[in-house]
Amino acid sequence: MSAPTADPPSTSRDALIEAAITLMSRRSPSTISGRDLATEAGVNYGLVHYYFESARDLMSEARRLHGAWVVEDLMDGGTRPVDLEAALEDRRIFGFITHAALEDGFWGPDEPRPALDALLELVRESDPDGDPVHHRATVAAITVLLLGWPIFMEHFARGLGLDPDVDGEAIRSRFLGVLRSLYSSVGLAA
Amino acid sequence: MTAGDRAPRGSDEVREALVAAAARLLGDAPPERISGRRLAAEAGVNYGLIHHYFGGKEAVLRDGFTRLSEAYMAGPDDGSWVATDPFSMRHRPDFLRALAFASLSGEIDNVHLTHPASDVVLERARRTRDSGDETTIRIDVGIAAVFHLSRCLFEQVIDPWIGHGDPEMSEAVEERLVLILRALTLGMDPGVAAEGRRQPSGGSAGPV
Repeated sequence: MSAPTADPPSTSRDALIEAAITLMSRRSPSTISGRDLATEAGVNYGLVHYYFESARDLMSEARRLHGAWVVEDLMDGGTRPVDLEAALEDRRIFGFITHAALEDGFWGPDEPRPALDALLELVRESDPDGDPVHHRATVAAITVLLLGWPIFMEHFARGLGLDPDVDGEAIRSRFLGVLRSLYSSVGLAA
Repeated sequence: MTAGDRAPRGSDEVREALVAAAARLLGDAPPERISGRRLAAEAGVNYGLIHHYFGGKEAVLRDGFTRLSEAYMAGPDDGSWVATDPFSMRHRPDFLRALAFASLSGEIDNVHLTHPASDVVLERARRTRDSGDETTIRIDVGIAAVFHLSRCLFEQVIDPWIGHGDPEMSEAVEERLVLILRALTLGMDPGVAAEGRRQPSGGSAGPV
């Protein structure tokens, strides 16, 4: 796309990307329109099509940038793992990734996974002589648990006859213990 | 319903068509976004029949969930997998997606759902440890079920990364994830499992 002479401020583009991350944290991409995105971003609707082919194209771009955002903002540029509390509470992490995963064609097999790479790098630095299978399995397991907890845990607890109001603390501490054990197997503090 | 089929008639056929339609639609959208009209159209029946036979779309969706859950627990006719296999939910992406949509939209409380943490798994978990209270056993089985479903739900995100083009690495990590799943179910240390070390069952060994 050739750049017009009077570019609107790029902050509008950033605002649209941020709006896509916010809305996809709550809803499926298929239910989000260009107007929804413009409204959330507080920008003129025309800018959606100025910067992007379509609303879907904008959301794909948000999906591509999401991993880098996780590394930059939530892992301090890849210097520490995502804070546990943040990972378990922040819909911009689990909500976004789940909605993107449930949507066909949003995740190409060959695209980079910056957040997984960043965590693996931390693991390697911490455990330089360790087994690569152990390293990858640990990163995968931690990621799977962090994403799955907010989606499924309450439901399973009830299904198992546990009462989240009564047993909530015990469930949470057991779960955090699992994560700590995985982190510490590669010499990282959770 | 495909063109040329005749419309379902009579109580049994209409009920069946609606529940089957619900089971299909639940894998594509959160429950609150499945309207009664959409259900009726998918089933090929008159909209008014939802109210007539079920009292409302919620009951149809609930039965649709139960249908998916039972199909998963029953496994395939050819017996190529059973629900208690590690990561068996990957064989039923329709049920998995329905669970994820319903959970994310907060609409899951009023549907009764079964999951891999069936009585069989609980029983196995109880047998393998000589101590540990029932609540802890249930929590561990629940955490294992979260691991199981989440690993299946995010397969397309995680798996290409795990192998990064190396099938041997894929296979080795997959085996390790199965070990971790087993450790979580039985209340053993998942970190030790991640290292590939087998742990004796029977203790109350746990990460906390």
